Amino acid sequence: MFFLQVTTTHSDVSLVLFLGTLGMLVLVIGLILFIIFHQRRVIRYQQKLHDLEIEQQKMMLTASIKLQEEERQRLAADLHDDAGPLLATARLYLNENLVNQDKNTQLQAIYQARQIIDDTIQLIRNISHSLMPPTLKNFGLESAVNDLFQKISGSGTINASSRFHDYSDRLKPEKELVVFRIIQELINNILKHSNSSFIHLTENVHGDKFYLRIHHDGRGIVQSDFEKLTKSNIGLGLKNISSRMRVVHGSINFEKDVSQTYYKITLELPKDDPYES
Amino acid sequence: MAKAKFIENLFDYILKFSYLLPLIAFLIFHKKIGYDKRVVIILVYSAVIFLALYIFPIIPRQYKLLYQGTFTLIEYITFATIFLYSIERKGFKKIIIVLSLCFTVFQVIFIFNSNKSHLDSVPVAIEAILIFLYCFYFLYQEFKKENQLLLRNSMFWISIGIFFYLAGSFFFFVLANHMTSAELEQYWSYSYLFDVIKNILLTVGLLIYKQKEGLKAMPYLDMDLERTINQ
Repeated sequence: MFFLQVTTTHSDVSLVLFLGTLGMLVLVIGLILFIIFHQRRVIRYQQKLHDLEIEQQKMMLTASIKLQEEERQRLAADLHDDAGPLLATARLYLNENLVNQDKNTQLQAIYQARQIIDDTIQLIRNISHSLMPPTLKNFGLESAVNDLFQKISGSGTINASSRFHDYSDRLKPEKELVVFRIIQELINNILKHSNSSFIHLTENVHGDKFYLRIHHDGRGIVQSDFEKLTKSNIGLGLKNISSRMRVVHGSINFEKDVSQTYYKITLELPKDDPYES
Repeated sequence: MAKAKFIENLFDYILKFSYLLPLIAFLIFHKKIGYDKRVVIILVYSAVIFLALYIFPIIPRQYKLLYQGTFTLIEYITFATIFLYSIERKGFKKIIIVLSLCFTVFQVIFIFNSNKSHLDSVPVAIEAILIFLYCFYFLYQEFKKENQLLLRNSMFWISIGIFFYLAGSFFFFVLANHMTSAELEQYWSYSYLFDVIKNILLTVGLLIYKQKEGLKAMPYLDMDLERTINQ
């Protein structure tokens, strides 16, 4: 400023003004160009992220198919290894020679066959229940979850409790099944890995959102671990949870409580539209 | 000569009405834009400057410098507040507040102690340098966010508009007191161009302004947790 005041004459002012303004504009334009090039880099980065996401989705689909195959294999094994031999044994008792035998032997054979058939019925019922819990089908998510937690608590090794604050409007049956499967998987993981002394589940609704939160005091994971595990080759169950959450358009969040004592898992999904058929 | 006067008048009208652009954009798209603090600041600033430009010719000569000083102060406070709300680092926010207080005190002293000059060049130069500083810091902050497109960020357009305006008119205001009245009048019309560009970019910024979602309302899910633990 002082330099300008001392040295400038009126004819110089125009030149200084022109050059100065030009310099400033070059600076601004340079900055804008730099931003544009930077943005190109950002776009490339986002494209890379998008590709990674697609790859992850493929992995999840593979995991889902694998899980389905495993479930089918388990079902086939249950039917083949348990129900098959039982029915074959029952058939042996009821063979054609039975009519030629005395009445006592006949009665004994029929009684044995009946016992085996009863066992088979029970076995098939168990298989059917593992496919679709009857409580869930008949009485809904609240009863099924309460039932599940009572069974866990009944084992005496862990204190499990659940509370539904507002479940007057039930979710659609297919959505209930997905949510129930997610809860089962989460509980299974907690029981297997966390070594916790309690599990507590709460449910609530707010606006058009349905929330479920599970607390436990054992070893747990946070969101970054969850994301890492779903992207890795391990963590099939977590991948399955993630793909199920996508099916119901919901989100899941793993975090540690503010007190740093408990882990909490929050599920958030849209409530069903009551007017939607 | 008449042609030059006509062009000057035309520039003058374009400048005045360019201040209405953000207001018009808001009136049309107010539902989409929302009522964020920065939006309100830009709207109030545009309305005030629009009125001020109309009042300026009728201000008595002895009050012109006072008027210009107030104008500079309003402009500085507006831009500084916009950056204050946009910069995330608390430390830098404090720096903005301290520098703004210093500038305000300086400007008030300057207004009441200045001699007869065309323009308040020194405060304008300080204002520009301070705003450049905030603008650079803001852009640096946004550059660090790798996962966002700056061109879709409304504050980017707003800051570029402010930056362009101050950069374009910086030397004009700094040298204003070394110019003859004729030169001043001539170059003043050219400086309108940067003012108009700024107003257009502020409007672009408002148009892509996305109403921020309120904090996610979460129901209180842990209400009986303590009871469960104590059981």
